[in-house]
Amino acid sequence: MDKSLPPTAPLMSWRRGFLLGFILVTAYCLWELGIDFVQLPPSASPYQSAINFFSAAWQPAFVEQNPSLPDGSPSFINRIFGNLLTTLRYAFIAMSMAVPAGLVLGFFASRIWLDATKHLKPLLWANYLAVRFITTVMRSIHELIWVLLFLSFLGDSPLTACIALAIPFTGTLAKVFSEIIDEQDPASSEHIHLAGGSSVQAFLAARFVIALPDLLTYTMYRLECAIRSSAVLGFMGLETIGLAIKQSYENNYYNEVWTELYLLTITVICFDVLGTLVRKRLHRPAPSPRGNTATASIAELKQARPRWKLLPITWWLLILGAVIAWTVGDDLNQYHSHLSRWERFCSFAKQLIPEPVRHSGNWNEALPWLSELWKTDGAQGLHMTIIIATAALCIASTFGYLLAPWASRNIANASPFGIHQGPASALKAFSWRVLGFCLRSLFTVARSMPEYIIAFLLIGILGAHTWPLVIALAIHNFGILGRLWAEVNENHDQAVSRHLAARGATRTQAYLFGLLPTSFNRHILFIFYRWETCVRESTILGMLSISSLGYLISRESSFLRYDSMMYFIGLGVLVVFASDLISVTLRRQSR
Amino acid sequence: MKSKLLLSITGAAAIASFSACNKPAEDAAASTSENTPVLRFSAIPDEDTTAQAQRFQPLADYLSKALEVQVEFVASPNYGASVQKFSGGDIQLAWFGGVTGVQARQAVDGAQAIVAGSADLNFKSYFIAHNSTGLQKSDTFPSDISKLKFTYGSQNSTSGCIMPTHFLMEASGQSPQAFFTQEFGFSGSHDKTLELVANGTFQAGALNFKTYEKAVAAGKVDPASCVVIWETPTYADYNMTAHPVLNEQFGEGFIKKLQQALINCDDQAALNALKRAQLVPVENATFDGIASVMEKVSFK
Amino acid sequence: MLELDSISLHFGQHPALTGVGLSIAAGEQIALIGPSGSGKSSLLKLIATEYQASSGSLSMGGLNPDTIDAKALKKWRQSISYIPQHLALIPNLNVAQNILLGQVGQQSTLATLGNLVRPNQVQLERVHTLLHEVGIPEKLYHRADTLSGGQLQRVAIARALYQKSSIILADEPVSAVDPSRAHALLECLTQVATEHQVTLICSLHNLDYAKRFFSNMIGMREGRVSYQGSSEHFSIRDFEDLYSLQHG
Repeated sequence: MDKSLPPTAPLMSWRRGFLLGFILVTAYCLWELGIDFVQLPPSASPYQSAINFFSAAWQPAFVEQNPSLPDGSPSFINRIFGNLLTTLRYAFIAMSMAVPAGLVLGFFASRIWLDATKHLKPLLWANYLAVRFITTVMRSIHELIWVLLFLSFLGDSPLTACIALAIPFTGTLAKVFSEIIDEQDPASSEHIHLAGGSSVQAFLAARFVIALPDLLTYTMYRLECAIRSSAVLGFMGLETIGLAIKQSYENNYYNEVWTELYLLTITVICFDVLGTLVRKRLHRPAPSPRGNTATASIAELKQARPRWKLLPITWWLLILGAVIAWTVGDDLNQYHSHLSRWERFCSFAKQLIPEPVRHSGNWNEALPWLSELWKTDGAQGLHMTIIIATAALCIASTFGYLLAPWASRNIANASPFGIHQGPASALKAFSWRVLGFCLRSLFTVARSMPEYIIAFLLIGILGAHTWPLVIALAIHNFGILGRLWAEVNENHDQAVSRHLAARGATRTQAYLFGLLPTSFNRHILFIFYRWETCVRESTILGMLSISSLGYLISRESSFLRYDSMMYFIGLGVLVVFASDLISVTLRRQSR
Repeated sequence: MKSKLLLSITGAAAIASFSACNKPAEDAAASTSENTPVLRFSAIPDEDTTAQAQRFQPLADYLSKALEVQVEFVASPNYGASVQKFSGGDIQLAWFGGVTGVQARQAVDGAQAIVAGSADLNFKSYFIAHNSTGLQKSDTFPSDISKLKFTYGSQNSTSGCIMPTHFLMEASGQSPQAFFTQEFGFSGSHDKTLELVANGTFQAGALNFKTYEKAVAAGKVDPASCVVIWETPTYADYNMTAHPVLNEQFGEGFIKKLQQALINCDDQAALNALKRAQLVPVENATFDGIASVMEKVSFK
Repeated sequence: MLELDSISLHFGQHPALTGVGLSIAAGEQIALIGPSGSGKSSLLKLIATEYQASSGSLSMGGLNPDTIDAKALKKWRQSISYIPQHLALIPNLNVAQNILLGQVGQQSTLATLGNLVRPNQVQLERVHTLLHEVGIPEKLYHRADTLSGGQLQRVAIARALYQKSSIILADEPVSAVDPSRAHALLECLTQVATEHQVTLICSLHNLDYAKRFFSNMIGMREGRVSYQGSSEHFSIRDFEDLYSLQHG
């Protein structure tokens, strides 16, 4: 018999490395930010602002609070409903442009063509890389910055808003679509090849059809995001509900702010619920009709076929919404200036040239200008942006991960994982369902509010420093991650947990030792996926006058210094590119 | 079958409600597409910004009647946007502050400042502080505020940022970055500055003297809890600036006519929109002082 | 009809098929028997043109898939139906749509899309008839992922028949199925093959089934054909030799 000891497990594994890294990063960020959450000076009533604001939550206004409006102005409700409809309108128009464009670009950005014909290979590779580059640039610039850029030469028409929304959304849709297409099992499309079909037929009839439920689910989610983004565009002056919130808040009409917040949140939640209902029906076949249909004719079979009624209704309503958005309302393409768009674009482009180069005509002057900007503001802004994003994500992950099990329907259940725990008690069952429902609602509300608006409001309450931005980002991501993780818990294989529970383990034990170990990798991937979005958002949040890239961008823009504005925008783009590369590598390694 | 019927009814209802909401906008859109020039004007959102479009409607109506052209008000979300709209030609007229007016006139050759409120030629800022700081009103610049948490209004606000900084730099010889020991902020508007200092979120701030006095008169702020610690010397501030293209679009001498109509204005609702009792003629040179200050003030 | 001449197939160093020579007549029904790794799947995939022979030649009706042009290759592929082990059906399409995809090689892209959205009545009648033959006519409009394993196999068979090919290749259709269901499936398969007069090559592990349902047999071992002939003359001892089982 061999007497040597079995080998011990290695000290450092991928998972331990990750946990250690997570703790270290969180600690570093907290140290950088300092732990004074409330940086208010030692004045008599520092919390007065907060008290004023939150006490207005119970009394949302239904009439204008502004006393100096002339008679005959439309009512408050009329005004904000108009803003809400404009919000929806821009979102629908932007999505109706972004979805077809995203499909086409996603098609070209997928890897399935790279294994095709040999002599076309270099051409296809060039095509693939070019499309990926373009879509990454499109989505690395936040829609608020696209609006900033377009306002200067497209004018302030609704068209500016819609294009500014459509561009980053096209980029995101293209990326996600290409990933969904890539990940499908190739067996069915290969079969069509073998039956004599062409590559295009194999793609359309097999790969695309199998991918369709996921594509549609993601599109519904994107529509909800579009509504939120469209609301935030109001902060740039477009007539959406964000503008109403900004103006009401600036004038201290807090009751109005709460009415507008409630309205926005309810609208977003409606679309969220619709998306969930649609998703369930896309992924589950409809119940089959009863009765013996062996002798039925084709027409009878068609009549009795299993189908979900909600799905076609939803598609028709969405298409109708898009048509209405395009045709009804203010002219999209209003343009009033005597200068042509081309003239304005040229003068804008000229101003993009770095100032020293403009004066001396020598491009060598650009290098010292670039390094000057980096040394004075750029490095600090970039550093702060990344710290804010990372800190927010770490906080959101910690809280989200702790609460997610209690929001999962299979865990927050009187019979966890389906294993009954003694005599059934209606009260216990009800309490668990209520707990799960409350937590899921908490996640939903947290993610329905645009982080820009939360940050804007928090700055007024907590003071003007970085913690309001971190908290706002953390709240929003807490909602997203919590919901995603709860769903992973519900959909994951329950076998191990059921076994443990049936052998006497408690709910917590069955989760910790049964579900968590096997689903951990999937959970962690979400954190990496959200990091890139957090960086993009934290860039923008700086526009609320806090030192991150966004603050620098808005400062330069308000002084019409477009050259340095573009420099800081470029820094933000670089970060997104870097994180995109990291996420692509991680995806490949995790397979 | 049933679901299709329900769908068409819903669709028709949706279209009907949408059209009702957007009727006035559609009429406006129809008229602008007819190629008659429209006089579009805007204003900086320095205070009382909700429903700005509704508030300025009386002024638009008055000008429309007096000049016999179509006049439209366009809201700007922040100071910089109003300047951008002007320089891009989206608007041909705007109610600017001192700094934004200079920026606009520098961006567009031939732009003229035409009117200002009668009191605007002697405008001033107040430096205010929360009473817990213990500061009192003084005749010289209050250098003690360097240790406090301070807020400005908007970044290119004349009375809320640029002029206070100018006086600060004159008195202390330092830029705001060097002068203040704690990070200062930008509240975005005069109303906000007042609220934030009154409830202690910031310990001191600079704002438009009119905003302060109006709030005290309306009883919204207690002058004992939110103290004026210094009044700046006077300077010229708000003004209406006109784009030279107006003479091309509406005929020679239009700007003169516009100026006259504004000076003669006695329509209360229109004047209330600007919150001025009366308008007087001005010219670009009136604001040369501001222009030279802008060159010297730096936030780097 | 189908001739294989000294076919060899290598995957890198690993020889999947060596010196395979076969002659298959039209209308024959052949069971393909052999242990795992003996090359049964590789042989079927080779005939289906998923793989290309490293050496040797394959021909059907005088045509060799390695030498004909793309258009003719398409035709060749349409004349062979291949049912892979995991069926390659599309789970979120219904049964009718899955079956209609059987003729994708004979249609244009637009026609394929049209079929998916609105199949015409004539095609539907034919599909319905085929479903009657395989025993599940009521599942015409049911999504593929609502069917049981055995039902899915029948759909795959109907799809192969809809293709109107001259030869059906079935890769281990009953390996994961219980005896009574396997029985029913093989009965269905061989019956429809006879009715439609198509050649059938079916790979199996069970000697009983092979002998009961198929008149001819090919035995493979380590990439070579070790037996080709009628199934009657293939004894249990031959089977045990083939599978290197201990003689019982």
